[in-house]
Formats: sequence, C-alpha cells, structure tokens
Amino acid sequence: MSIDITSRIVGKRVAAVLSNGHVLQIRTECGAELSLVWLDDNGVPLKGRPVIAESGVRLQARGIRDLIHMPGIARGQ
Amino acid sequence: MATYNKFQDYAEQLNKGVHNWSTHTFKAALTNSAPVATNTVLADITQLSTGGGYTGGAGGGLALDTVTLSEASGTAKVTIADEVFTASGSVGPFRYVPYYNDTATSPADALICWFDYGSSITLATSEVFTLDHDATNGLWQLV
Repeated sequence: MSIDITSRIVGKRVAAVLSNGHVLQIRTECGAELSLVWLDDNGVPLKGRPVIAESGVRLQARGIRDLIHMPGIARGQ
Repeated sequence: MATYNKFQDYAEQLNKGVHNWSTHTFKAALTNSAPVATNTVLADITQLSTGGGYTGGAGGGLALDTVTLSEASGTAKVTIADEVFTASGSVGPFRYVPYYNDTATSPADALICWFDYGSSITLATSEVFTLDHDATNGLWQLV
C-alpha cells in the first residue's frame, strides 16, 4: 500500500508516537492513526525505507450513564 | 473524541422491551447525513451505499460482535468489544455512526444512539476503521 504519510497527518496534532521495535505508530488527537514498518528491497522488515503498514481511523465510542428519574421520591430515601 | 448522542425514542423502546442487550443483534451504520434525536428507526437514516466492503440498506452496517449486559449493585451496563472494519474499496465520506437493533421488528431496526466523529472520513482500500468501545464503563449504563 502506498500512501503519502504527510498528507495523512499534516495539520493534525500528534497525540502519541508508539513503537515496539518493529512498528512505529503515530496517533493524532483527532483519532487518525498511522502504523509504520520498514522494509528492505527484498521486503525484509527492519531495513530500508519506511512504508505504511496500516492506516485508519479510531472512533472513541464513549457512552453515557442514564439515570432513572423518580420525582416522587425525595433525596435521601 | 467522538460525541455520543441518544435517540429520544430509545428510552421508550427500552422500557417496552424492544431491546434485549443479552440476545439481540446490534449494528453500527455509517452515514454522512446528520441524524436527529427524533429519528426512530434505521430507515430514517441515509446510510452509505453498499460498497468497499460496507453493506448499506436494511440490515446493513457493521455487526457488533460481542455485546455483554451485566449488572452490579443496581447498575446495568452494556459493554461491546471493539469493532474493526477494513475497507476493500473506497468507503465514505461518513461522519456519523448510528447504532441500532437489527433484531427489533416493532419498530423495525430501532435506533439507539449515534456518534459524531466531528468531521467526514473517507476510507481507502485496506484502511481500517475502529470503533473503540470503553471496556470499563461500557457503551451505556442505567443507574
């Protein structure tokens, strides 16, 4: 997959850059993520040029707490 | 962070027994048209058309594979495993992700809530869209 890295993150605020030695992941505050690995000319990891292994969007799906309102009951009861 | 919005009708349909979070099938649809809180069923939503691995129309959307209802100390909680969708072609643009009950028949495909990403997204081939659910607090709690 060939994707221009700059166009994916330009103008966005980076929230985190993570690496485990094999994959470099860039996360932005708006939720965009880039995971980068390096391949040599033979496609062998860890040498050569960096390419995007995966890109995508993470939607932080945070919910709510709903209350059951019971207007006939006074506080403390 | 995406913002959560509740469809108003959900409060009624929940109490009518339309939604069973333990047994029903729930799905997340994709749309670039802003839902409104008074929408009640999936047919009110202008979904993306089928393409790029996404299925639109009735029964369309991304199936939420692992939905768990639990209760502790009087608080019911619904947790959902992260949903990961990999596009096989261009998908989008979309900005809103409404959740609905695919099992419900009356009303059919009753709506629950929607998330607003804040800007439109277009996925290219092999790009990944992740619905990152809160494993601790869940999607929804009833206190």
